[in-house]
Amino acid sequence: MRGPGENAGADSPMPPRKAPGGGFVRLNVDDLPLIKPPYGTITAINLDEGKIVWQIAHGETPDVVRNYPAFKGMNIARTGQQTYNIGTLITKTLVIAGEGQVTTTADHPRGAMLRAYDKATGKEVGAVYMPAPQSGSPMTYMVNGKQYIVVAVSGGPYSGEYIAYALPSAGE
Amino acid sequence: MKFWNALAACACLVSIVSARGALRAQESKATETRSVWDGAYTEEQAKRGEALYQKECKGCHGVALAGGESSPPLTGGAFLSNWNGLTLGDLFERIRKTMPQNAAGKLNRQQNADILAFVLSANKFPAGKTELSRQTEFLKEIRFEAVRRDQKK
Repeated sequence: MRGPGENAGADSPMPPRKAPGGGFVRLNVDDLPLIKPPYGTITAINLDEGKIVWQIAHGETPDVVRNYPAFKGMNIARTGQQTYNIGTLITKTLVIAGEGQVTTTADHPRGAMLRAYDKATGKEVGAVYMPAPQSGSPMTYMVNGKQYIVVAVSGGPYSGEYIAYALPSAGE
Repeated sequence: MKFWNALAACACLVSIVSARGALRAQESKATETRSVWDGAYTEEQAKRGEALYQKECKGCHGVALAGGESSPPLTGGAFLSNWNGLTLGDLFERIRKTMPQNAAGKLNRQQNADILAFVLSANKFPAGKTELSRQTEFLKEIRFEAVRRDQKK
């Protein structure tokens, strides 16, 4: 007998057991991610009003997308990246966050970028090269009047490391 | 007479050089065409690797290789992009020399190759008829490509 309510509520069948190790499904169509970009964003939310102030794609377009043959000659806007842990550093005026995936572009060798955005608008104001993706949140400190940003990187064959960047002093 | 000897020596040298060039071209062609998409491991090997993974790696990288609080996932976009363009030799050496983190170097080459086979199978790279080698030199000839090259054309 079949009737309304079948397979629902207490009648619902047990969910299928996940095969061990089978948690990853390539959600790709012709090697491109099924999901519409951006693949990763940073969003500024006004908590008083509950409104999004700005939202940007964070992270270079992945190599497999940027170098996709069908896109040759096309201008693909930055897609951002799917990452599992990007932490941000917030200062008076900036949001600083590193990329979580390795890319190789005309501007930089195999590696990732540490990017700084204007906190009020989300506009990118600077970026420096890291040899591996960010694996821990950046932080900043000052010693003898000089400002530093330190970030943990690792990924792929690159073992964990801290990298400290010195900001130019006033007048430099 | 001396002139002819010298000429013969030159010709011989040229042929050796060109033979070497041809060999090198052949080698690089072979290297270029072998990737993780060409069936680099066997299903049997991946099964052995899965048992080892569940025992030695699961604690940090998770049952479904999705990673943990301080350990990266071994599947998905970030994993694939971090190894894209490198070789299985690089990935094998990373596992062999630094894992498991609390007892690096504990597993032998065969065990590490089996675990690598399981990681490849979990990432849906196709199985083949030959087991993944435990020799780093051979593994360095298999390129890690996030997407299939022939499909890119």
